[in-house]
Order: sequence, then C-alpha cells, then structure tokens
Amino acid sequence: MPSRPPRALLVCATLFALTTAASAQDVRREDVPAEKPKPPQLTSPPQLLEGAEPTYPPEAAEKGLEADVIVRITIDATGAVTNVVVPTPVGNGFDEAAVEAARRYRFKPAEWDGKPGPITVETTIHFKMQVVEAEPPPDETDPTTDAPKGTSVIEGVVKERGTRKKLEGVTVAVRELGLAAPDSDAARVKGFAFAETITDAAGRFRVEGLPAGKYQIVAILSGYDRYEERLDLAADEKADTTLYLRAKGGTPYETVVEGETEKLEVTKHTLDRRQLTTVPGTFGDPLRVLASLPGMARSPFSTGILLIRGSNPDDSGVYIDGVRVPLLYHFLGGPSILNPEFLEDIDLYPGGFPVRFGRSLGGVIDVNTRPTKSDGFHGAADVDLIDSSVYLRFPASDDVGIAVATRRSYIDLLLPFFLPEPDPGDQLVVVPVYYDYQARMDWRISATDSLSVLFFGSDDRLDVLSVDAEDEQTFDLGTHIGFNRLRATYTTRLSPEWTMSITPLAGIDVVSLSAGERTATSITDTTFGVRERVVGKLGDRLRFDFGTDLLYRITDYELTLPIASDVAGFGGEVEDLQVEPEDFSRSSDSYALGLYAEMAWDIGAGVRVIPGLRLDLHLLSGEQRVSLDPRLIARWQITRDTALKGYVGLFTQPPQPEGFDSRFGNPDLELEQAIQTGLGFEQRIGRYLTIDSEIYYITRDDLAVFSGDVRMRDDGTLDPLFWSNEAEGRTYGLELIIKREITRNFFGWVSYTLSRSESKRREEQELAPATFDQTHNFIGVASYRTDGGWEFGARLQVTTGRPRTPINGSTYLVDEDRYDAFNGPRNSEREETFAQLDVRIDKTWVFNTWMIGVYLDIINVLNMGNREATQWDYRFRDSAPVRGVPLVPTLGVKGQW
Amino acid sequence: MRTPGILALVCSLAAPLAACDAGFEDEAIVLDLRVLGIACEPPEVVMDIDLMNPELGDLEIPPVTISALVADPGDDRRLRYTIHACPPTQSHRCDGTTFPSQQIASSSIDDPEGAAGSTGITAEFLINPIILQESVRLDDLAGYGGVAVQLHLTVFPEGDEDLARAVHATKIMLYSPRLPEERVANTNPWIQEVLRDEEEPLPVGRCGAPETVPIPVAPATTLRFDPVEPEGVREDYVLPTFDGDVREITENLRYKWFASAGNWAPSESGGAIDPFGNVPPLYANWTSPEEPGLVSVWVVQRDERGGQSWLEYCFDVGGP
Repeated sequence: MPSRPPRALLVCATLFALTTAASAQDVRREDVPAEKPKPPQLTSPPQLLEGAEPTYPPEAAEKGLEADVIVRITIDATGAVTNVVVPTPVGNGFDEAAVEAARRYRFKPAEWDGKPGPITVETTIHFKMQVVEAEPPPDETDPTTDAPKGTSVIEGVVKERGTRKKLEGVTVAVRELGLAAPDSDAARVKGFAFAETITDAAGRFRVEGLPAGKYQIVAILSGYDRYEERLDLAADEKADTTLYLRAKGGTPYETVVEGETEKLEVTKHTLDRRQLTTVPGTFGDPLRVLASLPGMARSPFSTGILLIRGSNPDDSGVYIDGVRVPLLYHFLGGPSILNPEFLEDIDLYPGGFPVRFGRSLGGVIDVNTRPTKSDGFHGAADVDLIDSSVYLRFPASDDVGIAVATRRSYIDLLLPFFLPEPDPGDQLVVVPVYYDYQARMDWRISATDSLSVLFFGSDDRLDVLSVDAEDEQTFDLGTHIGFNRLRATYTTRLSPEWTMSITPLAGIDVVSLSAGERTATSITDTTFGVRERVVGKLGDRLRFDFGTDLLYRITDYELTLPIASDVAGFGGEVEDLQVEPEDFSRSSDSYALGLYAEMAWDIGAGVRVIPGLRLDLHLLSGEQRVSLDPRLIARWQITRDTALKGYVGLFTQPPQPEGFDSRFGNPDLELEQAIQTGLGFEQRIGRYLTIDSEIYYITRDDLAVFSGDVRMRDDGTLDPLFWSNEAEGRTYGLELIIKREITRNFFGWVSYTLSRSESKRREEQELAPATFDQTHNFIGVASYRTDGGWEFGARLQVTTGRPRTPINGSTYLVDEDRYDAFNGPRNSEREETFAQLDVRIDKTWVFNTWMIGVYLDIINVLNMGNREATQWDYRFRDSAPVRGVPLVPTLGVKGQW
Repeated sequence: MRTPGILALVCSLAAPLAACDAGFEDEAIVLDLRVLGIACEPPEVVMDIDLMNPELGDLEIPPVTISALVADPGDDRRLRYTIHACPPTQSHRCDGTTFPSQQIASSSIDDPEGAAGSTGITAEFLINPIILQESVRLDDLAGYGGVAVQLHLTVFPEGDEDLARAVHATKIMLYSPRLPEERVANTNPWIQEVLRDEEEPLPVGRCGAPETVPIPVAPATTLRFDPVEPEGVREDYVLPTFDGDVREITENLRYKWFASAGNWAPSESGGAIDPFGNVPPLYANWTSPEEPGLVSVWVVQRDERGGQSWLEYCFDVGGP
C-alpha cells in the first residue's frame, strides 16, 4: 500500500450563511416593514469564486500529522478577504498554512437586503494525509476506472437534522471525484466538470454527468457535522436523495454579524432565541429571562411582577408585536402567555424608550413574534405535570405561512389525586386554571408588500378544588381574568429607503371576581385602535421614524357589592355595615390620539442625536387632557468599540379610566408624569465581550392614588374624591451588564444594578424606600453547550432584601377587634439578603426529521431559605419568616419536528 | 415548561395549613395581660353641631363613663393604667405631641383575677371641646359621619415603669351631629344569657371573686355556647348619605370568645352576612383543657357602631 508524497487536500473552502442568523448586536431596522424594525436580512451568502490549496506543513507531513483548522474570514463588500484569524490554534504549522491559503480566497460578496455588504464567516480547512489504494482489479461499475458511459444524475435537498430547515450554501461533492472548488483542477478529474456543487436557497443541489458506479456523497457546511452517504448509481439513473446535516452542539451555529450597528435607543437589552430558552431557573420560559437583566428588580416569590427601575408594575408597557397587553404571565407567577415557539425576540427598554411607545412612565417590554415561513410542516409539543402546549407551523401556499399554538393547564384535574381528605376546619384549596392561544398568518403579497395577522389571547381563573365537606358554610369563588387581541399589519415598501406599516387592532379584556351571590365585580375593556408607522431616511445622515397611535377604549363595570359607598360609617368605616348588596353599572370611554416623530441625525465624528416628540390627546370619560413629551437621545461612537450615550425625556400616562368616574373616581385627576434622564457607556472588548453601563435619575409626579379626601359641595353635601394626584417618587442608580455573546458553545452575562427607589403616597409624608426597592441586584448567567448535545447552565442571583417597616408593639382597636402594628419609620429596615443558585442540564437527541430534548431545571439548588417577608402573631409580638421558593427540581420533555 | 412561582404555589397548595402555621400563640387563649374590651356609656352622643361652623365651646356635652375588661391570668399583681382622649391618630395612640391630648384617668387596680379585682377600670369624663374641634378639623369627612374622639388606654404592671412593656388599647367615642334630623344615639348592646349546649343558662362569675361558684366541667370536654340576644337589641338606625339622603341600616352583632385555657372553634361568631351569602352562626365551641384548675371564659359582644358589652364565667376543670 504505497503512499503518495503528502499533499494538501483542501476538503472544503465553502462558506455558509444562516438566513436566520441571530443578531448579537442591534442592527438598523428601517428596512423591515413590520411593526418593529428588524435588522438587515442576509439575502445572499458569500460564494467562493476561487479557492486556494494550502501547503501541507512539511514537518507535520513527515510525522504523518493531520488537523482540522477553523479559520474566521472577514470579507468586505467587494468580496476581498480583509482578515483571517484562527480562533483555536492547533500548531504544527497548520495554522499558518490555513491562514495563508484563506487569504488567497476570492468571494462573491454577501448581500444584505440585496446589497453587497461585509460579513465574517468561519470555515474549516482539513489537512489529511491522502492514501493511494493499490490499483484495484478492473471493475465495470467503478466509475473511476471506466470511461463515462451515461449521464446519471444525483440531485436532492440538504436539510438541517431535527428541524428539516433547508440549508443554503452547503458544499455537496462526490468524494470519488475529489473535493475542490468547482473550477479547480481537482474538480475536473477525468473530465467531470460538475463533481461539486453548492445548494441553492431551497437547499437543493444537482450533480450531473456521472457514470454508473458507487459514490460517496459528502456534504459540508460550517457549523454542522460533515455528512457522508454512499450511493449506488446505475447507468442513466437519476437519484433523488435528502441529506440531513447535524448542527454542532445540537443546534445551528450562530453567525457573528459584523455589519454596521446602528442604534436609535440608548438603553435596550435584546434577547435572542437561544438566550430565551436555556437560562437556568426559567424552565425554558423565555419571558422569565427578563428578570435576569439590569433594571429589573427581583420579583418576590418569583411571581413575575414587572418591576422596572422602581416604577409600579402598571406603569410599564408590555407590547406584543406593538399591541399592548394587560399581562405577561398567567396567575400567581405562572408561565408566560406566549408559547416559546412563537417568540422571535424580546426588547427590554428600562428607560428612555423611543417616542413610538407612549402612555407609560416606567419601562417598556416589546415582545416580537416569529414570522411564519412556507417551509413545510413543523411543530413542537411540551408536556409536563401541570400543563401541555402544542405548536404547529405549516404553509397554506407558496407565499402564505400559518402558525398556531395553544396551552392548557390541568393541575385542577391532577391535584385531587394527591390531596389528602380535608380535615374539619381545614382551608379550601384553590388552584389556577389557565389556557392561552396564538395564531399568526404571514402573506408575502409581492416583493414590496406583505400582510401579517396575529390573533392571541389568554384566560385564567381560580377553581375551588377542595373544601371541608362538613363545613356548613358555602364558598363559591369566581375569579377570572382574560384577554384577546387581534392585530393585522400591512407593510409596504414605499421606496428602497422608506417603509410604511399600518396596524389596525382590536381587543377585549375581562376581569371578574365573584364571591357567592352577594359580591361580584366585572370589568370589561373593549379596545380598538390603529397604528401607522413610517420609517425611512434621507441621504446618509438623516433617518426618520414617525407615525400615529390611535386608541379607543370602552370600560364597562358591573358591580354587585354589599357595601354602602355613599355613607360614612362608624369612624368612617363601612365594611361591617349589614346592608343588602347593590348593583352598580358604570361605563367610561377614553380616546387617545398619539402623534410621534423621531429623527436620527448623524452630525459627524460619530455623533448622533435623536430628538423626538410625542403628542397625546386624551378624552377620558369626557375630560380632556393633553400631553406633549419631548425626548432627546444622543450617542457618540468614539471608536469602533467605544460609545457614550445619554438621554433626557418627559413621559406621561393617564391614570386608570375608573379614576375619572364621576361617582367612584375624581374627574379632576391629572395625567401622571415622569422625567427620565440617563448617561451611559458602551465598550466592546474583543469579538464577544461587551460592557454596557448607565447611570440614571427618574422623578415621578402627580401619581394617582386612592384618597379619603372629600369635597364639600355648595349645598353642604359631600363629594368623596376617592382618587387624587398626591403620590410621587424618584429612582436613581447604576446599571451594568457584561455580556459574553453567543458562540457555538458558550454564552453568559453578569448584570449588576445599584439603585435607590423612593416614594410617598401623601403630600405630608417624607420620601421613603419604595416597597420593592433593592439596593444591590447581582445576577450571573452562564451556559455551556457540548458538541454532543449536552448543555449545562447556572444562574446566580444575590439581591438586597426588600424594605420593611419596623414594628414596635401594637395597639388593640377594640371597636374593630384587631391589633394594629405600632410602626417605626416607614421601610427603614430590610429583610435578609436574597441569594439563589439555579442550575439546568439539557440533553437533546436529534434525528433526521425530529428531535427530542430532556432537561432538568433546578431552582434554588442550594435550598436557601430566603426570607421574603415577615409574618406576625395577632398582637405583633412574635414573628416568623415567610420563606421564598424552596428547592424545586423539574424534569421537562420537549419534542420538535 | 414550568415557572418557579406556580411550582411554589402547587407546593403550598398541597399543604394549605402547614404553609402558614408559624406556631403562634392562639389569640383566643388569654395567657397574660390583655385588654379584651372597652365600653363607653353612652357609646355615642348626638349633638346639634354646625359642621360648617363647628364652634363647640357653648355646647352642653354630657359626661361619658368608660370601662375596660382587662385580664391578667399569668400573674398576681396590681395594674396601673392611664386613659387619654385625642383626635384619631395614625398610630392609634394619644402621644400628646402631634395633637392635643386630654388625660381622662390615671389610677391603679387590683389583680383582675384576685379577690378584690371586681372594681376594674372605670372612669367618667367630660370631653374637652378643643379635642372635638381638632377632631373635626382633621376628619376627611369634616365630622359628617360623626366626630370621632380616640380614647387611648395604657395598662402596665404597677411598679414597672418601662412603658415598652405596656399594653395599649384604643376605642372611638362618637360625638355625632344630628344628621339626619331623626338620628338617635347608639346604645350599648347586651347579652341576656349564654346557654351551655343549647339548654342550660350559664351562671356569670369572675374567677377569684368570693361570691363566684365555679362551673364544673370535665377535662377535654367540648361545650357549645350560644349567646341569647334580648329582643330588640339589634337596633335600626339611619345614616346620612353624602348627597343629603338617608340610608336605613339594622345593626349586626359580633361575638368574640376568650378563655384562659383550652381552645375555641370558632373563637368568633355572629357578624354581618359574609360576601358569599352565609349567615354566620352565633355559637362557639370550647374544649376544656386536659389540666385541672380554674379557667376564665369571656365573651365580648360588639355592634358596628362602637357599642360593646361582655360577660365573664368561671369553670372548674376536673372539679366536683
């Protein structure tokens, strides 16, 4: 078995690009028509025009060494190679040889939205000693020994294993004919001119002119394991085959986008899909990851309350595809209301958000759903002991894709099997019952026009599961909250530089609470609205974003209450009065017309200023209110890796509509206001590490709160106000996140927030720490994925304990028969420091057309008995801690096809 | 997919009682110095006050007698007490610093469970018009629902000057304008008797009092107590509405049951119809302790307008 002198065998020098590349940076969004601007899309990957054979290092050849060298190649907009690095050197001269060869490659440049642009890609150069087999005996079927006898063809499609995503840019070659660039000498062995090809956008390939014989098909794409398949080819045969490539680590490699980053927001934290589903402690619930970002205070008992920079949960806006929704999670810290498969990404704006978002004082959470694709039938299912969900995606035509998902809990059905019989006097057991649904249709009408429709909703109620059978009392509890939303977005490209979208929307929210026949509350909100948005640019220095935001809301109240709201009882109390229930029906409507405009102006020297203005005209239960919110954002890109940023702006929101009710509210209420200011710094260190920090100061004024104030009318009768604009607050602090971007095996971040949030409800009060004020909030997240389909993650959170008011004894109120705490200074003490470590282990098995994963997610793995609150005995002498979530392991199974 | 909150919820639901049981002392079992009730006679004074011009100096304000039910079964000692009147405060105490305060009484009593303890805490007072005027000024409703005066009782062992260990209790005394015209002052409710197991009236008596004959009861025995309400004790009354109208209401009566040992189920009875439409029963069940000895039982009756009364019984557990 003589061997040939060592010669380099360049196995592959073809490039890849993932059309669904996950952006690790924020990229400009003006050229995507949806409700939320998107980064530029990779419309064509770079193509290798001319390869180069590396020189086999002589010493390595003498020693018989082989190696695979990963090279990272930066290609500019002309297709020239501008930089080559070896991220993981292998030594023995292989690295230098690979770099030298890669520098001589010539490409057709990548295209972003149809235009040539820069990109960085990775590929692997394989150095292998080629062994020449002894001359085999003549074989009529061996194409390498026979002259061409026919025109056999191998064609097929290359897909990603598990997901069946069609892969573009895959090099498919016939091993017996050599593997080389199409125009190379190696590709012309024995005159076969098409021995190698690259898959098209549909993942298809075709190799022609093959004589009958045995062939080994090789498919290669960076980020995927090399794939080989043997075929027996008869004369004049056309073989059709499907090749499944397995992504390294179980999922596709993430492209590092090197395109120019353009930011129109000062502070925005974006989470992409991988970060959304593998963070420990979230049980794969993407929206739970928000709690691990700076600016978000820790929610007690993991209930998922949105606490953004000290603002009330109601003061932050939660949007799904630009449509505001009343809640993000099911009851009592349940899962989020969107199926994870429906999510594309989540943007968190803890402050200084753009003018297209209005009527919020706190932060904004902007959830974007995934556009559907016409790429076959796909689905996912998730089953566990508490709920199940299913997701389906399928094409309705070549241009129309549809996706649907739903989830339903069944804890109410299963828990009775595990509950003991209640003892006399035991409490009843109440469980949450919930479901949610989503449906989305995307229609690509033409090259410039598209339509998407999203219909989604959620429903929660509490069911009474178990009561003491001997109890003579009845307990009929009806608690229900639900909402439905329908939005359609029509997008048209007005010109290459300008895009317009129109989004009509409708929604209905229902909140009801009933207790037997004597107490019932039902609030129904019916909402109609339309948003119009135009995004574009003039020249290279001016970019615009303007639009309208019209909302009409009708709020109907149906109340049945055994309460005398029109009298003053003993000591002002009316709860104990024995009165018959009364029925109240109230209705209020509110109109809001928002007009906004924002302009990004590149002054030069890396300085960009973004002035914005938002005008809102409100008609609230007949009361007119007007707000004009100017905002200014500035950004100075000092170097390619360093930037300074700052903002100042006015933010206004109306109180809840019931606050203006003539009977149960105060028609004189004013709009609530906040001034947000921030100054930040961004630094990129190396390719993957980023630092983002900001100091901020927020004041909130004219906040509406319940009030016991009354106003005397001219006739001497009284007019209780119920609400007043007395409350105010402020928050200031520092936020820092050091983030390691996603690569094949690792991602993670460290987040730290130093803050002080103060509030007061009455004018005569002093500012004191707010209920959820947390001085320090540290979070570290890390996840490592092996190439064998395993992933290990950990999340650590250490947070200052929440404020509490010291209790120095009590006073017995004999008329009410209760003890009242004798308080010290409000919120002048704190609970103990909170610390929690969560871990997660994932294992994914990938098959050709489906995959299945198992995960073990353990929250509070150290079982820290974190003190969330303090409970007291009846006279406030003895106390005991109320502990938070204990160690909770969960085993989950999820299938996807 | 799962989230921590809901898992925690499931865990807590699986053991609904254990989650909240911190082993605290039972409120219905009186082990040490406690104020169990305070009554004013009368509990409300209706006066002709002009709320638009509340000059109260010339008003004839009748005197009021205040009395308190105090228990101290854990110790044999004299108690000292003070009573102050002031406008209602956030802390429910009259500290004399923020608002004017009027001292009503300051004295001592014998051990409530002792032979001479029957005198109890009692005092008569005439409210200072300045207190009334300040109360009107501070009231969100400008006295529309009645001018509330806070009566703050402080009790502590005699000789122990550390007020941090004192027991505090507060009652509201109502001085109401005659709104509407037909408004009548509230009167204290009263209990005609308490039936043992729905049959036998219990004889009242204070443990320690020479004339009391303790009621014998076997250890660990459950007794049902039913308060008997005299006819008409639930008064009908009227309240002015904010828009000048009148609302008619019938009183509801609540009962709170205490004992120096044993346990109650329930320890509260009566009251308004609950939100689910249930009419709360009036009776309570008491289970005597295992250990023999004298046990005091108290029942305090309240209306929702500050009216209050009580009865006291003495049981001899394991006695003849």
